[in-house]
Amino acid sequence: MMRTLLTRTLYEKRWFLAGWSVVFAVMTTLVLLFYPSFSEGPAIDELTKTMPQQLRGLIGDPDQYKTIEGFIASQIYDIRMPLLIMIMGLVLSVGLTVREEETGELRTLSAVKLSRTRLLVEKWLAGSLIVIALNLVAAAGTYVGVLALGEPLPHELIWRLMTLSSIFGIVAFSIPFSVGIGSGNRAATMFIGLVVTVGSFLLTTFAKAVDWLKDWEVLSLVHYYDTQSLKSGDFSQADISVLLVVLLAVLTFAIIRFRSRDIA
Amino acid sequence: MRKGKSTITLANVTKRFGDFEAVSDVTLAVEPGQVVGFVGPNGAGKTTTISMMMGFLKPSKGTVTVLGTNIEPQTSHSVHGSIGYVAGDMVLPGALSGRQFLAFSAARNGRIDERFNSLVDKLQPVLHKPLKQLSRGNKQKIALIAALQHAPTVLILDEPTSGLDPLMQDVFLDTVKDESKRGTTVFMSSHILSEVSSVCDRIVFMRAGKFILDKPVRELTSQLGKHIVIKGHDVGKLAKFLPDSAKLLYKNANEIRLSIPSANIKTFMRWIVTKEFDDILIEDRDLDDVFHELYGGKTK
Ligand SMILES: Nc1ncnc2c1ncn2[C@@H]1O[C@H](COP(=O)(O)OP(=O)(O)O)[C@@H](O)[C@H]1O
Ligand SMILES: [Mg+2]
Repeated sequence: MMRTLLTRTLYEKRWFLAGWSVVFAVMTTLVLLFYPSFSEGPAIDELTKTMPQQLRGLIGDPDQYKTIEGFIASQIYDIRMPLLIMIMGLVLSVGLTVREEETGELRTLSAVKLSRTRLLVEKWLAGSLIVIALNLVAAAGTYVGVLALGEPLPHELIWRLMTLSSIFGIVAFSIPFSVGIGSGNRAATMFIGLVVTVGSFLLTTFAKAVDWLKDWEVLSLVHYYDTQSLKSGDFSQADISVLLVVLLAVLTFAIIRFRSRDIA
Repeated sequence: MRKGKSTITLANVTKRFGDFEAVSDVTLAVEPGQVVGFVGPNGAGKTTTISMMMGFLKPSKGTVTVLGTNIEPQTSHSVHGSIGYVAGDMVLPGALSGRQFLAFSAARNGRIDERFNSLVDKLQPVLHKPLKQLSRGNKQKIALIAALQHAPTVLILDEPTSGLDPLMQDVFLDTVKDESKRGTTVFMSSHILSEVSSVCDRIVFMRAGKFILDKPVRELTSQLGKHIVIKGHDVGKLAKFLPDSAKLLYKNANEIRLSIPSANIKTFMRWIVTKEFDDILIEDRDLDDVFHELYGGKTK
């Protein structure tokens, strides 16, 4: 376990992983428990009909709740999953970067035979594996929920959603991680992390109702995380490409900066 | 400077933080096997200098080499396997046990099992508890083992005994002495001169970002001379007849205290035996006092 920084970091983050696993498992299973009232009850139809057009954008098309596929894609994976993943990713990235630098642990780590690039890459890999692990937990929670409801299991869809959400999660984690390790500045890391998270959600949810925001919605990170199209079609190559380009850009920035900067 | 041969070199090294110059144009060569005490008051720039030797900080100007490698943040790791580093304010990963942390260091830097075992025998560290639960002294034992288990050729120590109780300080300094006997080059900072003078054979004194003195300890101590205290009824009146070489530091009716250069001790003794007194005390001088005398400012 202590042979590499990657495995050591995973070991050090085991309680973090356990805690967030509970959050993701509970969220997915709990949300599914509401499926019967959505699919059967007329209440939701009534509610959306009486809602002003602007607010309807926030909850989406009511017809999509009527099938288990639609419910999983919209109620679990559309808003809640990326929001939780982004918050988790911000906390994780601060813990792996600026917090360790503030305590002085990063200097201790830099005193061993481990290049700056490798240090960064192993930490990033550890963080990314945690993102993937939590997505597996969320998928498992979804399975449990569906089984409890006695509904047919949409294997293909869950697998796709999990994959997209993992890629999205790694990118969302990598942005504040790169700022944190590249700059060592907590304020900058928190600021960028929060701007990306809050900004993306405000943009994407309000753009459905506010016309002038529609042009700007492409700036939202969740714009490239489209669960609705996964129900029928395949992954959008354009979306995945944008996410990968963002990932590459922030990691390149981080490596270049971290290789030559002072460690406080 | 003999390039390529010295273990550590600093060539016209400057480090600025914004407008503030923490280290100003310092130059130094540490030869293999030397044990250098790096002394100066708090804020002198010692940690900043050492951080550039470790590659934590990038010099604003000048070059640093350790074991022939040019030290920059991107290159320093290549020599870290030959360096043992301990800082007094070092933070160890709190979630790991001593054994785990040492295993990690060993995986990166290497470990010589015999050495590890003898260090464990000598220091009796607490290996199984999470490091965050250990006292300062026990943490420092782990840090010292991590720094020594791979038999480094250079030890870089930044006020390594600060915050340790006197007993642990002695154990620590003893271990450093053992290392130097094996031929390990040691560069050790301290703000207490007497501490390093007991271990080191060369002293570099830093103040306000500059190296203001660099001398073998032997030379320093021989320059110091002795303090002589004479006690007895009415010895105070001897003060008027002192030889020129003696400097009066203190007197009352029954006691006088003098400072005498080492070279003049014999003559002084011949003179004093002809006088009446009850007791005489000859004291070695504390290097700290001398620095107060020589440089005015405080060393503590
Ligand atoms: N990262 C930094 N930013 C700004 N000033 C610093 C920084 N690190 C050290 N200094 C300043 O540089 C001076 C030297 O500090 P330091 O090398 O830690 O001294 P020493 O180790 O001799 O006590 C101090 O005045 C300190 O405040
Ligand atoms: Mg210091």
